[in-house]
Amino acid sequence: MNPQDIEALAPLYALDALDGEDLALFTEELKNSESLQALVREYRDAALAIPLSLEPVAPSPALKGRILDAVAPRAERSAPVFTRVFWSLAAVALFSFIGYSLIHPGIPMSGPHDVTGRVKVDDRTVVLMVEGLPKLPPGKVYQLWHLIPGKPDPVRQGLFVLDPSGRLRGRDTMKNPITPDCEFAITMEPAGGSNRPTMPIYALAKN
Amino acid sequence: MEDAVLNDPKSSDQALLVKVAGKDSQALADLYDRYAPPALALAGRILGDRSEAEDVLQIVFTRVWQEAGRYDPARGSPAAWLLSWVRNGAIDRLRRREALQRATLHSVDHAPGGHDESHGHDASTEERERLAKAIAALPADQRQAIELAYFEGLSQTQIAQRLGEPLGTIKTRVRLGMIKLRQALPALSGEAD
Repeated sequence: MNPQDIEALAPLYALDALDGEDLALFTEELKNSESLQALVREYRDAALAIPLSLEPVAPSPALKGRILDAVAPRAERSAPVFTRVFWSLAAVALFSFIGYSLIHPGIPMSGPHDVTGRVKVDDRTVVLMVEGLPKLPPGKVYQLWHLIPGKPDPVRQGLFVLDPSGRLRGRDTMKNPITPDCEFAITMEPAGGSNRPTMPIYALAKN
Repeated sequence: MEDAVLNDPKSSDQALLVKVAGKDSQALADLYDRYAPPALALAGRILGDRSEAEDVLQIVFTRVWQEAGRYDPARGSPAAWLLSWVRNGAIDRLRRREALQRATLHSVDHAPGGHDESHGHDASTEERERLAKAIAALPADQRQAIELAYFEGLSQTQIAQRLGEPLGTIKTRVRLGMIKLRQALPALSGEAD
């Protein structure tokens, strides 16, 4: 199949309509062809005309609340019924949390340019609080990396931007278990993140 | 890789996704406000059932929250990424329903049942009409083949079987129709202004 024949399959691929040998062939060619990847992207964007030409439909008012409630941290989720038992348990949980925080203030995080901060680890979740990071240029984000002993490449984690006060604060669920001697690093990457960290490291914490 | 203007208060789709990846729930709410109405229209068109369509949206936006950091601009615009999840989720649900009920497809000519109110999406009415005109301008056989692929998730072979046409004919119809859409909509990027 010549290049023109391959390109002719791009519109069908963009619609997920390729199958059989055509799909196998196109997928193989796509791996190593940036021009073909760009063509598929153009057809995917062109296909957007199909849903965006439909008359928009207003979701029910409750749907947005259900979604935001589902993604909220557990403590922030709305509880329909508050009882004395609930408040008693909440009080116990609060004091336990305060006690835990005093005993486990988090791992120190540091870097050049007076970067300071902490990483709090809870099971597979980390909470980042970092100060002193440079303001992000347009089109850049900070990216967290998980450096695991014995694993050659850092594992890409979540993307973050600075809050209005210039601090990086956020939570991320790690893709791999947090081991006793792993490290956490923060780099500046293009929007959308990178698969490999771009040097330099702006902040580092050792578990 | 495209850049995003992160400090722009009226963020681009990509900047919103970055913020969602940073667990900014307001950014998710903004993305929802921008795309829930067309997403619901799409899921409703595929499923013909508003309740099921809203279920798909809930799953998709929750997944966006979890996986926004994995968005790859090289694979398409944020709008294409998000709406492809809606489309795939709705088509999966449609296939499960068909398998369970052994029923024929519901009519999907209308907005989801009982609630056909329109909504003021960021994309203006003029923009939507421009897109609709571009699709309406396609020859009927090309539009039909594209819509069978897009709304019903049929492969080229399945479309050929459904329409009783040779496979080569279907490939040509889809290709020509998509080329026309691409040429007619050069500015369509999926980025809301």
